[in-house]
Order: sequence, then C-alpha cells, then structure tokens
Amino acid sequence: MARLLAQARFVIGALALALILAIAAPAVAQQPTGVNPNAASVKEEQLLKGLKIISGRGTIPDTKSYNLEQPAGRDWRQFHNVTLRWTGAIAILGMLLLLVVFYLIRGQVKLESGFSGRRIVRFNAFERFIHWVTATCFIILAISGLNITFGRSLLLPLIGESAFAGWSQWAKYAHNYLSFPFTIGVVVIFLMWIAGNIPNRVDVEWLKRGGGIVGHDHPPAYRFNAGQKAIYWSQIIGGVAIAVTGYVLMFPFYLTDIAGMQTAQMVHAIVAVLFVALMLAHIYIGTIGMEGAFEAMGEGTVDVNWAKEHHSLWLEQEMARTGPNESQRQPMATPAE
Amino acid sequence: MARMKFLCDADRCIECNACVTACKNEHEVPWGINRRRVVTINDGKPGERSISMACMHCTDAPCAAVCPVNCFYTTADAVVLHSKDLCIGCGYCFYACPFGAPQYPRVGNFGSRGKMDKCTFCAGGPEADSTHAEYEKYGANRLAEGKLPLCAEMCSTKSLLAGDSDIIAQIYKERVTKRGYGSGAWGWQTAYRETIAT
Amino acid sequence: MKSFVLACVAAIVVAGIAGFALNSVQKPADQAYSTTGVRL
Repeated sequence: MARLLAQARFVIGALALALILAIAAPAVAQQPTGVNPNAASVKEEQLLKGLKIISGRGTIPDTKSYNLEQPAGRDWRQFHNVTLRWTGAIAILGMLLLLVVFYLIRGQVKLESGFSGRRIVRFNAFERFIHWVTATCFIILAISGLNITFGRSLLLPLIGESAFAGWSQWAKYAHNYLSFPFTIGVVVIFLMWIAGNIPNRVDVEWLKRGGGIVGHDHPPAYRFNAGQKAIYWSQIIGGVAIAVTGYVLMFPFYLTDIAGMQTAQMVHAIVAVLFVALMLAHIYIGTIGMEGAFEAMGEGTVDVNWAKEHHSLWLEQEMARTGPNESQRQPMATPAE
Repeated sequence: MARMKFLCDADRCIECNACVTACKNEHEVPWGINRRRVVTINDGKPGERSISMACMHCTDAPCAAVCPVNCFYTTADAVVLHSKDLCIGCGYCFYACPFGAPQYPRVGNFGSRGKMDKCTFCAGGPEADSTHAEYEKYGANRLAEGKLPLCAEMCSTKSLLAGDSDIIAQIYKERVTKRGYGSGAWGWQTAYRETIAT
Repeated sequence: MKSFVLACVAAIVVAGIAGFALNSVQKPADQAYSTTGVRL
C-alpha cells in the first residue's frame, strides 16, 4: 500500500512539474506569416494610373463625398492661377495697348464731309433699350468677374482683406443675379438683329478695303458692316457659351460632376476674358473712336452725312423706303436684299 | 516645429465611422456638413478597402491658392485653416481640393453657398483660442490644449493617425515592417508630394 | 438717355426677381442631404 501511494505521488508530482513547465513556457506570439490578407485589394498608385478619380461608396446622402481623390484639382488650380491669369492679362492689356496706339496714330475717325444737320433714325427706342440692358449688365458682370480672377492680386493689397472680402461678396451677388437680364438681352439681340447680320458679298468687299480704317476710303455697307457683324456673331456665340457655363456654375453638381464643373469654369473664364478684350474695341469705336457714332445708340439718330460715309447702302434703302424725308420712324426692318 | 499630418492605414480601417462620429460630436457639425467621411472602395467585393478622409492639410494647399479672397492661412504647425468672415462661398476651393474637403451649408450657388466649413485638425480658426466665438464658427480647438485631433484618438483600430509627420510616418513604417505588408500612405503623394516606402 | 435709365431699372428689377426666386428655392445642406429618417 505504501509503495502504491509513493508511486502515485511520484506520477502526480511528475505530471504537475510537466504542467508547470508547459504553462511557464514562453507564449509564442502569432508571428507574421508574410501572407498579406489585402493582397487582392487595390493600391493607390494603381487607381490613380488607371482612373482620373478614385471613387468608392459611402454612407452619406451627399454622393460627392464618395469620391476619395480627384488629382485633376491640381491641374485646374494651375489653369486658374497661371494659364487664365496670363491669358486674361495679355488679352485685355494687349487690347488696351492696341487701342491706345491706334488712337495715337490714326486718331478719331472724323466725319469728312462735316455734319449736315439733317438726322436719320438708326436705332429705335426698343433696340436701344435692349442694347443698354445688355451693355450695362456686361460692364458689371465683367468687373465682378475679373475681380474673382485678378482682385486678390490687384485690389486686395490696396484695400485690405476685410474690405476686399465685403466688396467681393457683393460683386458675387451682382454677378450671379445680373446674369439673368444679360442672358435675356443676348437672346433678344440675337433675334432682333439677326436679319441684318447675315454675311454677304458687300462684307467681303468691305473687309478687302479694310473697312476704310486706314486712309480716306469709305467702302459701302448696309445697316451693319462686316466689323459689326463680327462683333454680333462673337457676342452671340460668346454670350451663349458664357451663359450656359455660367448657369452650370450657378447650379453646381445639378448637371455634371466635378470634372464637368472644372471644365465649365475654364470655358467660362477663357471666353469671358476674350469677350472683355473684344468689347473694349467695340466700346472704343462706338465712343471716342468715331465721330458721330455714339448718338446712334445714345439717342437713336445719326447725321445723314455720317450715314453716307459709313453705311451708304443702308442710307439708300432708308431713303427709298421713306422717301426724301428724314427722321422717319423706321420699323425693326430687314434690309431688303 | 511639428509638421502635422493625417495618415489613414488603409489596411486597418474597418469602416466603423468612429472618426466621423467623434468629429461630428466634438465640433457640433450640423447635418449635411461632412468634415470627415469614410470611403469604401470595391464595397462588398474581395479586396474591399476603406479609408477615412478629411482635409489633408496639404503642403502648398491648392484651396488657398485659388481662393479669390485669400481667406486661407497656414499655421506654424502646417495646419491649413481659413476665415469664415472673409469667405464668400464661391466654391472654388472645392474644385481645387483633391480630397473634397470643403463643405458648404447651402446647395446651389445663388449669391453664395454659405461659409465654407472643413476639417480644422481640431485647431479652431482665426478667433482667439478656446473662446466661445471660435467654437461657434470652427468647433473645438484641441491643439491649443496640447491634444491631438479627436478622430485619430477615437479610431477603434488605430488606423487613423494624426500628429507630427515624422512620428506618424515612423509608426506606420514599424507597423508595415512588423506585419509584412502595407498599401502605403494614401493621399500623401497628392497632399505632401512624398511617400512612405513600404 | 431715357432708354439707358430704363435699361438700368429693368436690369435691376429682373436681377431682383431672379434673386428672390432662387433664394426661395435654395435649400440648406441639412435639408438637401437628409432622408425621411432624419429628425432635424
């Protein structure tokens, strides 16, 4: 009996020792096996190489938030800060320089035969009204628009951050809301004057003779000469481009995604600065550039001699229509071809 | 001086949205504004990956470059902040931002989209630190109290790291070495023009 | 001169109407991005 007990104690002791040793053995931590559980997952460079934008899914109702990265933002920044600024500066300052030089060399285009004192109606009240709606809106849109691109570098240093931000806020309101009367004006001008702005052979001849801008030539023209037709069509195409992209910008992400918004802004801005440059020339020639021109849009009539020198074919048509009387109220007429 | 950055370890993110919840709560961010969000790529498919994304506080921040009223500024810790007093709500910062960080309180761009709001790295705004005025506009200023952003603090898997660039890059590198894999620091090339070799 | 003044007035009136109409339609983000489950 004692021997059995002794054997049992020995076995239990051995087992206990073994157990203690087993427990005391250092716990082997889960070593990295070198297997990558995410091996099948995409990597960032992969996605950036293949796609222009990295997109996934989210849980927020704002679906724009599902885009993770859009590196195109960098390119847009480059365009906005560098390309656009240079384009705008060269176009606008270049045009101003051109006009100054032109004025210094050529001077004002004078009415060579002098004022006769007899007037003829050129634009009626409605035409003038629509022109001034469009023109006034354009001026304010141009200033507020240029402020967005150039204001920070040109105006902010002069008036300080707070004043500049306040002015820019109001400029932005003006810009966004005056876009509506401007767009309406462009559409009405398009319809109102399209008949008179169809190009024809007279325009080719007028252009060949340089519009008489150099020397004392007076090439014949109907109601609108080739230069004016060029302005008209630029204004329609430019105006439509600006209006469409402008409304895309005003309703962000209603019609398009971020790439579309960036494109809309680029088109809007480039067309706008070119448009401003072009309108500077238009304003020049309609005001100081040409004697007797402003009254046409200012109060509606022009001197008969002015009409003879610059729009002789139109004058003939008007005389034929109304007889030898002047200052007849003319309808918004199609020039009879 | 510290150079503050975010690093989201895309191999650890489990899309729990604790970071989003923490941010929303800490700054009382209104509904509709999402300073931080979790994006899941290949959701439900093998190789699904989630990443938490907010403002990355870029080097040479594109938002600051395009702002028409220059309302952004960078602090000494390289945190990119802005002034809501100067902001005119034009939306340009959103077009430039590679990460979609700017948020606006109004839909549509009539007149204004409202004052832009974004992740501040829990560093408030131009108002005096830790004042009520600052909190109203920009949320809590943890950095002024010597704390790190709450999103990273609350991350359940410690996938989102926030803090000094050298320190979090080191943590990430050690992690990658230890476990043997890593998909890299998402967004770092775009935001900081540098990567962490893995 | 008259047509110019009228033009300015007309522009401001149309702009004002547009502003009023758009602002009444403009939703704040919390309304635009909420579903029926949200209590605002």
